[in-house]
Amino acid sequence: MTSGLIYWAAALAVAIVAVGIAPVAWRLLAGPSSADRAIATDMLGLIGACLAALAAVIAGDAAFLTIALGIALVGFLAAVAFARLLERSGTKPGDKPARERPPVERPVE
Amino acid sequence: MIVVVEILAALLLIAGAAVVALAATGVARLPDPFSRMHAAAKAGVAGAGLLLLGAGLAFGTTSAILTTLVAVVFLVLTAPLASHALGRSAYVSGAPLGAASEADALAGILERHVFDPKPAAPGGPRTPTGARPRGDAGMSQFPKAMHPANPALGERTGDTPLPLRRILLCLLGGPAQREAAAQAVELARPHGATVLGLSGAGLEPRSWRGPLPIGGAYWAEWLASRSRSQMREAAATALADFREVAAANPQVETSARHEEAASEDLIRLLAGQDLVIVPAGVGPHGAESELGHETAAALAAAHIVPVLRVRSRPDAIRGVLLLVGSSPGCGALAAGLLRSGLWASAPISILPVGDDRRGVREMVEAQAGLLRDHGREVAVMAPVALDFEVDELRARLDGFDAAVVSGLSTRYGGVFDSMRSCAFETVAETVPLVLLP
Repeated sequence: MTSGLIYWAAALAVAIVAVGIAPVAWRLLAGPSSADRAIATDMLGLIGACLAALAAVIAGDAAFLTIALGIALVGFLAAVAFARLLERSGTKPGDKPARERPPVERPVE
Repeated sequence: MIVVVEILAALLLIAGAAVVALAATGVARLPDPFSRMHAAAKAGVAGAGLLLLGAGLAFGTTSAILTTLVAVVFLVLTAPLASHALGRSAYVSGAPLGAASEADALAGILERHVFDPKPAAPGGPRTPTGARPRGDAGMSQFPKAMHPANPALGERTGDTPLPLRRILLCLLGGPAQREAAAQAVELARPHGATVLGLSGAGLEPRSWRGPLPIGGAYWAEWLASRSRSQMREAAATALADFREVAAANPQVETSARHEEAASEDLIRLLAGQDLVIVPAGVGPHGAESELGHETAAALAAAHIVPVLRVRSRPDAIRGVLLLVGSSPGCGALAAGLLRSGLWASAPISILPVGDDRRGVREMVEAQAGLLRDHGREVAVMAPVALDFEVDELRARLDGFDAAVVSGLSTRYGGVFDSMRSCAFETVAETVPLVLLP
């Protein structure tokens, strides 16, 4: 069923998506804050779903589409877990928030 | 037909791949974590959705199309969740704000840590975040003042005159600035009070609460720096005027101060003063503004110090007007006037607004009685109806040089604002001196 046109289109799409992996991977390695790394991981999951769908088209096997579905289903769990971890780390038990200021006192007349 | 579907599928595959590649570039190249997340969440999901639909169409079977549709639906459902959680955690963990730092709408609401370049610090139990109730602090330059930290600050009771020792003069610029400076010095002279000229108040960047268009980070910064420099120029002019007025009156002790500090510090400075004098017609950022958004109104709403709004300086106070409507502060105007000790010899007239409303007549009578008990000459004028004519009211306000009101405007931005006029605004626009106790 994969005639020539779709096959070549899928191959081109794989090439384009694969080019996109490099900047995301660089961000994952370099990203100054942990949030950057979490975002890059999230994006890599999306790219993985795309590659699974493209693999389905190239291999002519619809089973690969289910992998894309699975990644779309659970991919966000990783992001949420990362987010919780980030919110917890960096807070120490006795920390006073820096923004908190003492209430304004008006001198008694 | 099949050829058309194949061409469509091929186009979708390539377009989706291109969008995903663009999103990946965005993740790498955008300047701060929040914009990067923007690329990953929106462009990424759009690209992946197109690509998945293309793959489903390429197979053409019902099950394949259904599988890809379900995958797209789940992507669209879960991506906002993921990016919301990531954005929140990025803010809390202290990721650099980038362009958004110009207007940090979450400041004071979410606890924010200093960015630690070493990730994965040992975890521990979270301290409760210092969440505060938040009202409409959108364009206000004194957001904290809307909710004073200490409720007792809002309580200024009693009707004995307080000594006038410290006067704060806001150097905001605008047409009435010179008159305000002269008025401050004139008030300070008989009482032996000190005058502190404060410039730079409200020199905070304009709040920007919308998506940034293309090049938006650059232009937003450009606009903010331009308005900052304009405000500094206005402050410098006002300061020069104030120095001139002060030099002409060497017996009054004056000092000047320039503060570009956070609003909290300005409020703290305000708390030690006995009277704040604000030039009329100047709103946040030193720009012209509607009456309801003027700096005088914002300071008065803080209920820390009585505010005197100066539009022009009359030679003598021929009469003082008390405008009593049904808004909350209207019952305490007489006490506020007596407490401030201003205009002790001028006759007082009370002007009721819409006195068919509940409580207005009682407030008028109670305040007239209070003023008479203090030996003041009081007259109650014929009430103003709610649908009054502006010119008529202006003519009636002719003999008054000072007014005591609870607010500068009772407009609330509703649809009726276009068809009714506001007595408070008419008074504030007509009477030269307005005291907001």
